[in-house]
Order: sequence, then C-alpha cells, then structure tokens
Amino acid sequence: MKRSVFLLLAISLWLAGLGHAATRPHYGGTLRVELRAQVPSLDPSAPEVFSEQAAQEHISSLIFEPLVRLDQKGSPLPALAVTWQHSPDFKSWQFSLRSYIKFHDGIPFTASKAVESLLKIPSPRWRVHAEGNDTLVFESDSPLPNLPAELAQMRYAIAHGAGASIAGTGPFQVTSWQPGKQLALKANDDYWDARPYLDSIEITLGRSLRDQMVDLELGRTDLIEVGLDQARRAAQEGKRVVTSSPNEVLVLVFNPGKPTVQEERLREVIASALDRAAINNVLLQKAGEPSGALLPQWMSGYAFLFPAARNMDRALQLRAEIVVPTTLILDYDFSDPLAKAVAERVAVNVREAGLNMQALGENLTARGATADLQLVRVRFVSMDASTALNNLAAALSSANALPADAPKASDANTPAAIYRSEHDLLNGFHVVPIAQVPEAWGLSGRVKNWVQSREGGSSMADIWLEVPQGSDTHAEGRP
Amino acid sequence: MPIASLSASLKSLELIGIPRRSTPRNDKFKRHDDAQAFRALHACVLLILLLLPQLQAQSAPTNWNEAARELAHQIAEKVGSPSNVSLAVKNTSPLSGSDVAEIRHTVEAQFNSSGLRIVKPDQSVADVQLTLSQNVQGWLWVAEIRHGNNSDAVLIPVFTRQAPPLPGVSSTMTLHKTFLWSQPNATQVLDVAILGGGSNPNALLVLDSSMVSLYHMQQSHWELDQAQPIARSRPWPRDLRGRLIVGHDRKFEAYLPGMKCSGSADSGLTMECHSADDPWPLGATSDGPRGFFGARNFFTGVTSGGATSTGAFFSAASAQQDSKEWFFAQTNSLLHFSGNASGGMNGWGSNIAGIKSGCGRNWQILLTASGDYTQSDSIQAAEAEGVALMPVAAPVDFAGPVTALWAAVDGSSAIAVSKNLSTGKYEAFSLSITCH
Repeated sequence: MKRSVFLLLAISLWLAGLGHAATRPHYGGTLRVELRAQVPSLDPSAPEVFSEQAAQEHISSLIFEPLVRLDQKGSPLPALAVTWQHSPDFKSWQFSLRSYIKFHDGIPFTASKAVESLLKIPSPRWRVHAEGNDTLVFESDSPLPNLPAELAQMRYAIAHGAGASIAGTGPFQVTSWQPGKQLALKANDDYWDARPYLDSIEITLGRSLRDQMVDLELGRTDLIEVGLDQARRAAQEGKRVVTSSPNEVLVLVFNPGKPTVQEERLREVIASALDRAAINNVLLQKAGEPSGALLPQWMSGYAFLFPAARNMDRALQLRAEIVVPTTLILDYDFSDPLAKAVAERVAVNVREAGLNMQALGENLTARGATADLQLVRVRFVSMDASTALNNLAAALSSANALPADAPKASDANTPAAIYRSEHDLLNGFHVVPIAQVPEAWGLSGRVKNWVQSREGGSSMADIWLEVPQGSDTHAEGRP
Repeated sequence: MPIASLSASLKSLELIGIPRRSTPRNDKFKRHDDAQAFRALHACVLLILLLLPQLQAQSAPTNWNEAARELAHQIAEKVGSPSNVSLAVKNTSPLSGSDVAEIRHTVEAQFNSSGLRIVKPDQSVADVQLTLSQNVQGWLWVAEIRHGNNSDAVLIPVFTRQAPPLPGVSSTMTLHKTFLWSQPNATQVLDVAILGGGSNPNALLVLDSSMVSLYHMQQSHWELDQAQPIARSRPWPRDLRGRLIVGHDRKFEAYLPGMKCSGSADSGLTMECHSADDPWPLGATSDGPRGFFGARNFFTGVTSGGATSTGAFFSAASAQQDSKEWFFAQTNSLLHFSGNASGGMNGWGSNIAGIKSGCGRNWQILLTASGDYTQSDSIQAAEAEGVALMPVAAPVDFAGPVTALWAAVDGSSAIAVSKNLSTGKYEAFSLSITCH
C-alpha cells in the first residue's frame, strides 16, 4: 500500500514535470515567417523608413553582421571584429578583424571590404580606412567614446554586393529575393559562430496582421507579428504569443516648417492634453508603457522623471493664452493600424483641450512630412542608452522632425549625461513621446528555443523546429 | 599554479579562432582584447577562488555606502551645505524591503555626514524624492530635488548585486543533486569528472568548449591548477557536446565532434588532440558499448560493443549491468528500448544515463523531460519495468536546461550540466541515489 501511494505520488510529480524541461535541439526544417512591412531592400545601409525599421533590422540580422554586437546589458562583444582599442582621447580607434571569414558569395572578408561597406552610410561622424587585410582604423575630430556600441547597429553591418546578389557573413544567406514580397534564405554551413539549426527560412512580406493571424491558425506559417491590440486576446485564446520589452517609442513630432506649430505653448497644450494612460490601457491593451520619455524605463532607469500624466488644467490655461489655428493636421502611417488608432485618440484628446485636429493616414515614406505634425514609431536600434538616444535624435532630424537649432544628443554615457541630453531634446515640445511600445510575435507550436531578446525578436540561429514524434528529419551534415 | 604559467598555457588559445594579427599594436591605444580579457578573467578566477569564502561572507548585504556618499555629495552641491532637506524613498526595482530599509539608513547617514539635515517637508529648504530604480546595466538611484521653484535630478549608477543562491531539493528513494562546479564565464561546460572519487574528491577535470581544466580542492574551494586549450580548425556545431572518460590512473580521453583528445591529470595536466571519428563510450567507462557521433549534436545510430539502436539518438542508457538492452533517446523525440521492436515512449527529454545505485532493482535510469533550452528542467530517476519506465523518486529541479547528462566513471552516479537561466552560466552537478 505504502509503495503504491509512493508510486502514485512519484508518477504525479513526474507528469507535473513533463511540461517544462529540455530536449536537445533538432537540426533541419524550414521556418515560415510573415511580416507586414514591404521591405524594399536588403542592404543594411539603405535609408531607414520608420514604418519598416523593425522588419529591416530583423531581416538584416539574419544575413549580415556588424563588427561588434551588444550583450543584454548593452556591453560590446566581438563579432566580425575580435579586438579593439582606442586612443586616450577617443578620437582614434583600431579594430582587428576576424580572420578566415568569407561572404556568402565566397569573397573573403577583409578590411578593405569592410571599409567599402561602411562608407555606404551617408555622413558618418568618422573617417575609416584599412590597414592591411585585417585592421580598421576609425578617426574623428571629436571624441567617440561609444564607437563600439555605435558600430553594433545593424545599419553598420558589413555587406558585399548589391540587389539580389548582396552577401553578408551572417548565419543565413539569400537564395531568392523579390523586393517587398518574398525572401528565401538558407543556412550558412560555414558560419563562423556555428551553423544554425534551421536549414532554411521563408519570409513573406506585405502580409496584413489579420492575414498573418489567419495563416498561423491554419498552420500555414510559424512566426507572425501580432498587433498589440490583439496580443492579449490571442494569448487568452491559447495562442502562443511572446512580447518583448518596449523597443519602440510612439512620438508626436511637430513640423518645424509649419507656421501653425511654431508657438511653443501650442505644442505644450497638445502634450498636456494627451491621455497616455488611456491610450496604453485601451489601444495598447496595457502591453506598452505610457511615457513622457524617449528612452524606456528598462533602458534608462529614469523615464519616470519625464511626466506622463494628463494635465488638462495646464492645457486649458495655455490654450487661453494663444491664438488657435483653424485645424491641425496629424499624419500617421496609413498601413499601421495601431498608429491609426492612436492618432485618432490623440485628435480626440486635443479637441478636448479646445483645438481642432484631424488625423490623416498617409504613405509617409513616399510623401514625407507635410502635415503640421506626425505620429511616428521609432525603434531603439541599440541596447546602449547613449547610442539609442543619439540614433533616435538622428532619425528624427533626418525626418525633419527637429528644428535645425535643436540640441544634439551627446556622446557622454553616464546616466546623468544621457538624462540631460534627453531632457534637452524634449525641451520645447518639438517631440512629444506618448508611449513605449513592445513588439509581439505569434509562434506555431513547433518553434523551439525562442529566447525573446529585450530589443525584440530572437536569435534565429538558435531556433529549431520540433519534429513530429516518430518521424525523423535529422540528417547528418556539416556542423 | 602561478598566474604567469597559466597565461603561458592560455596564449595558445589564439589558435582557437582568434589568430594573431600582422598589424603592429600601437601603444597609444587601450586594448579591448578577447584573449587578453580571457587571461585576465582566468587570473580573476584564481583570485575569486582564493577569496571565495570572504566574498561569500560579504555578498549579503551589499555595501551601499559608496553610492550613498556620492548621492549625498551631489545633492549637497545642488542645495548647499548645511541645509535642511526632506527625504522620501521609493522603490521601483526588485530590491527587497530589508534592502530598501538598509539603503535608506545608509543614505540618511551619508546625508548627515554631508551637512544635509533630514527634516519634515514643511521645515525643509529642499525636498528629495529618491527612487531606487534599475536600468539595463544595473541599479540606478534617481533623486528628484525640489528646491524652491527649481527642480533638478541626480542619477547615481550602482554596481549590480549578485543573485541569491537557489534552494536545494530533497525527497524519499532520493535522487540527490550535489553542486560541483560553476563556470566563471558563459563558456559552455560539456562534462566534468571527479578525480579522487568517493566522498572526498580532491580534483576536478572540466571539459568546456575551448579547453580542459584541472582544479584541485583547497580548503573547500576549487583552485585552478592547469588548463590545456583545445585547438580546432573548424567552428564547433551549435549545441556542442563533449564527453570526458577518466581511468583510474588519471589518464583521460575527451571526445568532441570530429575530435578526440588524450591526456593525463596525474602530475599536472598534459593533453594532445587530433581529428578523429572514434566512437564515444555510451556507458560509464570506455569498456562498454560505443556509438559513433556525427558532426552535429547526436549519435548517428551506428554502435559497437553490443548496444543496438534503430536510428540516430541523442543519448543512451543501460538498464542493468552487461546488458545488451539499452534505452535510446532518439532524435525523433521517442525513448526507444532496444528489446522492444515496436514504437517508443514519448514525453521525455533527450538526455538519459544509467547508474547502478544499489537501491531498488540496483540500476536506475536518469532522464530529463521534454521542452527546450528556454525553460527550467528536471531530472527523474526511473526503473525499467519490462519495456517501460517507472519513476522511483521525486525529480530534482534545475534552474535551466540540462545540457549534458553522462554516467560518471564510478558507475553509481551521474554528472549533469545545466545552464542557469538566471546567470547564463553553466553549472555541473553530481547525481546519486540513496535508498531507505
């Protein structure tokens, strides 16, 4: 009797344990991915488009590698560069490159090839030249204390060639490419950091979020984007949904060329009237964080210093002091359902403060900034707070979202200096953050080893696909 | 082992994918160098091992004094000293209530030392709201200062505190998990072997992805004796595996995909490695059946010495001594018994090992469960009931996936390696069974 009771107990404990544990990864299989963006180019140095920034980065990280990568604390780690050193004044840096690496097209990766690739970036803050086959030297007239973190951004990833024949050194290589529509990749058998488990990846672009969800339900795909407004419901319905830390910021940016929004008090009326909490609770389904800061709390640690609460008293007080324009036009990306919902809610908030505002969906990529203000989603391209803020400021400047005399983000990397830099950027209400937004993915049951990184996505080289029990796709091959 | 000779051994690590460069180093540069950092890290390991008892004694509570002193200094600069200030402390980080109380106490003391007298808000010239926050790099203290109509902020980054140790597990026909080793860095540990054996192990051999290291027990902690690098010309496969087999004379063999190393840990550590496709031992010693290991993370299914597999497998375990009937954790996710021609069991993980504990039916099989490397794990002991397995003890839990499970050379215990998901480091454990 005693033995039976014990066995029953042991079996219960055993069965309870079955739900969590480790099976060794399986090699092989094709991962099917669907994305909403219609990424037009694989070139990592191609100009970033706000609405496609995330997809561009995810795709680039499969094919290309930068010289340096960042760990989960934002500290630089070797990638294509194995060592680096700097002069005491941080104006000169020397990077030693990894040897015996080849691009996917068989061309050896050398310092001169790296220079060619890096020089495709318009107006970098540094000069770069090769010394021999395996050393790069960066020089600048001003100190570059964060250069390794800066070079870890995917826009500085090293590429060779162009168009469909573009080649990187990363874990996957291109087998076919139809811009904006379809991308097929296969595992790089010679990848220096170990061949991926997957044999191939098929990415379908330009698929609406709704169609993606249908495809996941019908088993036609393995990995989809999930709109934040859908993420909670999908999870409640038992779908496998994973969410990152906030990796994008939703911001209102005022058009410095428009006389209607030159008055700082008008911009402050709009900033004070925003009901960020309601936007997060209702439209983002509490998946984001209402924020008056550009950088998320998890990255900076001080986001709460920038007030996010609605202040209608202040809005109405300022509103009474200014000449009110007839109607303000707020543009948003017409292909982004979340941007549409948020823009319409912003217009409602602003009307409550006595201003007329109309939200209009536009193809912002093609049309550029013509309205009084825009709602944009800007992705943090780095885990390093200083680099992320610099890049955010640069992205906003390049989109003409900041006036020419707007303060530049600083290179300093202490929390106090980054805070001052962010404070200066937000001063004057040219840029008004609304919420920090995570990304959500839907996964089929056969996707294994998905490790959600803080900046979004997972390392695709570590993902493997479960084989149906009893069948065996394992094939012996190169490691 | 002196640090200098350790460094000399480690120099040859540059063979491992980090070749020397032709470009001369410029002395004006400060280096951030893999190999240099690696050497420094190993020197630190030595130091940490030597100071471990002292470090453990100091690990809790963290000394917050330095941060509090800097905070008080910066606030005094902004509000002037002496001044009357109010202080409110808010915690938005995972710090415990006792930590917060301790920090508050420390901050108050440093305020006093800096001429900041803490008073009620209605008596203060400045109000300080201290938020104990956290960013991607660690703790961050943020003080908001309201001084008349002005507001200001002071931000102080604070070094990260070590996570507390995990609690242990115990049960009845009891599977015991004994901590052996934690890798000081994120390098994957493939296998460890205890030398000296019994209840008084005096040396530990650690096989990781880049070297074999010999440690000696010195006053209850492991001290690095010597390390030998594993030179390789090709990248390792993802999910690298490796196996150490140690003989009674302290001669050892290390098996890795496409490579075999032979060496001795008898007087110091010597080792030679060469490309080889020799079959790996499946049991506790090199005498039993063997399996050919492929270029990835599994055995091809071709075996010798008596065990017969029906296909590729991740691991194998015998259910009794000298048995030709083995359990195979196959790559098709089934656990297959060689004595059973049909089907297999599912719901298990891919690591199994057979040990002879002397309890129950003498032999037990240890098994991981199913899941992936993003999850915590457990190991279960079971006995063969015909072609099935029945659990015989409560499972032991791990703080991450078990990435290696091999029968130890004594045959009565096993070695498990797990990646701790909290720290990202690999930890090795000895598993044994006691009966009542």
